[in-house]
Order: sequence, then structure tokens, then C-alpha cells
Amino acid sequence: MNLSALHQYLIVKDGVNKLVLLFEKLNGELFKESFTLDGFLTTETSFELTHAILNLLEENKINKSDRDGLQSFFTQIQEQISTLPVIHLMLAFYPKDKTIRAIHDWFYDNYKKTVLLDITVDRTLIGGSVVSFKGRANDYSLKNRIEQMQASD
Amino acid sequence: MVIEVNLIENFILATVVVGLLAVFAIFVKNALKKKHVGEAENNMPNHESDLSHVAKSPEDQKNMDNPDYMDIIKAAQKHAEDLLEETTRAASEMIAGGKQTNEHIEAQMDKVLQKIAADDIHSLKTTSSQFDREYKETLQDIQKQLQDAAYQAVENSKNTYNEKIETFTKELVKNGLSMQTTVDKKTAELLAKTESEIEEYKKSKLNKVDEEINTLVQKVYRDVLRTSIPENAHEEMIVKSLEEAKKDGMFKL
Repeated sequence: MNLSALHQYLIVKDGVNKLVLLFEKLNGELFKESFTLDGFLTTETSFELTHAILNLLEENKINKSDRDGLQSFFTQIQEQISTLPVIHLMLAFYPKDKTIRAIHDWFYDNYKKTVLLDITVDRTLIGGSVVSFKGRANDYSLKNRIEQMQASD
Repeated sequence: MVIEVNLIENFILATVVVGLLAVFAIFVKNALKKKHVGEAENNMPNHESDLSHVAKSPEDQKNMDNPDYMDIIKAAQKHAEDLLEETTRAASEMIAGGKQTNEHIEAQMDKVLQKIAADDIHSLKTTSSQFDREYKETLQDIQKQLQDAAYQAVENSKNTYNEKIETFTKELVKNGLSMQTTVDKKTAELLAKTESEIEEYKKSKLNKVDEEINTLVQKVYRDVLRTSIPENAHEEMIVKSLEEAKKDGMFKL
């Protein structure tokens, strides 16, 4: 399944969790008699996300009225999201959305894969980042660079 | 000295003898004079009344009537008077001789006494000089003995004190060495402990200083660099760090 339509919503771990919760809720209300997908999305999500989800359904040729099909599709999305690689980044500042998207795009551009970013902040890093992935961590912060320079002196 | 004493004794004896003789002569002269004067008065014509009294006995009266008897009496009286005069003269001569003898003896005595005095003075001088010499010698001996005794006493005291001082010094040195050893040991222990504490304190302080320096440096970096680093620069550093991570093989997606 291609999740490219949701690419802009699959950036940071916290945001994806909200998306997962949204799909869980959607599956829970899917078989209610009064349920309509448009109505639910309009009520529960932003305009952009509603269109992104509808585009994703269209791309994957899912009938909006097929509740079983919808349930299976959203379950697959949830499962696929849960398998997305999570990159832990420690930054020296609270990044703006532009910076986060730039980081996220860097991964997509380099690996052609969607990754989730788990961002934390430590101001003592001064600059750069500490990167952790699959139990491995490397310090690429400015602070570490300075300390190494001091140690070499 | 013995000669002078004998002379004095002879002189005194002679003086006594002459004096006795003179007294005896005077006594005899007066006695005879008293007797013969009375008899002569009685026998002389101008003493007829007395003679007549004497011649009361018939025999006396008869003798007085005899002229020869009267002549004999007168001759006897004259003889007695002559004898008395001779005795008196002899006594006077003896007295004069005694006087001369006395003067001579006195002169001799003076000489003797002067000699004795001179001898005594000489003797005294000699004795005095000898006494003085002996006194000085004795004094010197006593002084020397006292000096020797004092020197000996001082030497004894000195030896005693030296021994005591030596003993005390040995004890002091012994105790001092023992104390010094203890002090050295304690000092070494204290020094080692102090050095260890100082080293630990120094290390602790250096660590603290390092931490403070790091904290300060970080604060400076944080306060200065962070505020001075623009967000696009941050973004570039982050991307650069991701590039490095990629190069390090961090991302095996």
C-alpha cells in the first residue's frame, strides 16, 4: 500500500499517533447506522487530512460505501504505520514546522521511504543533533564537537 | 740569758749584804755611843754628880778614886770611839763602795738590759720575722689547702654535675630520639594522609572547576551561540549531522 498521500501527515511520531487514534475511532464508528465517511472526516479531521484520506482511498480504489473494505483498508494503514521506522532526533532547539519537514524530506529524498521523527530538545547541544536509530546513537551536536576539540587541546 | 740572770742575782745579793752590814754598823755605833757617853758623863768631872752616883758602891767609889782606873776607862772609851769611827768610816766606805758598785752594776745592768733588750728586740725581730714568715707560710699553706679544697670541691661538684648532666643528656637524647621517632612517624602518617586529602581535594576541586568551566562554556555557547545561530543555520547543521549519520551507516532502512 502506498501511503504517499499521507506523507505530510506521517512525519512526527506524536502526529502519527493522533492519526492512528483517528483510524481506530473511524473503525469503531464504521458500522454505526448513521456513519458516513465524509461526515466523520469532516467532523473529526482537518480539511487537508480529509482530502488526503479520500485521495488515498481513491488511489487504492476503495469504495467509500464498502464498510468492510474501509475497515480492512484502515486496519492495513494502521498496521503499515506501526511498521514505519522511527528516527529519534535530539535537537538543540524547538524546530519550526519548516525544519521538521525539511528533515523528514531529507530521509524521503535519500531513502525513498517514509520515516517517523521522534524529536526531543536539549538546548545544551547548541547545534546539530544526536541521532538514535534501532538502539544505536551518535552524537553529531556542536557541543560534542567543541568538547572533542577541547579534549584534543 | 743565763749570764745576765746570774749577774742580777749577785747584784741583789751584794746589795742586801752591804745594806745589812751598814745597818749593823749603825746599830753597833749607836749602842756603843749610848753606853760610853753615859759612862763618860758619869766619869767626867763635869759629870761628877752622875759618877758620884755610880760610885755609890764602895768598890766603885774606890776605883774612882783610883786615877789609873779613870785613865784606863778614858783610853778604852777613846779606843771605842776610834773603833766606832773606823767602823763608821768603813761602813761609809762600804756604803760608798756599794753605791759605786751599785752604779757600776746599774751601768752594767743598763748595758746588760740594753743588750738584753737589743737581743730581745733582735730575737723579737727574728722571732717576729720567723713568725711572720711562718705565719705567711702557714697562711699560704692554709690558703693553698683552702684553694686545693675549694678546687677539689669544685672539681668534685663539677664531676658530679657533669655525670648528672651526662646522664640527664643521655636520658634526654634517648627520650628525644624516641619522641623524635614517634613524631617522625606521626608526621609521616599525617603528611601522607594530608597529601592524600590534598590530592583528593585537588582532584575534587579540579573536577568541580572543570564542571563549572564546562557549565560556563556551555552556558556561553548556549547563550551566545544559540541566540546568535539562525534557524536556517540550525537546519543546515541538522542536515549535516544526518549526512554524517548516513555516512556512518546509522540508517539501514
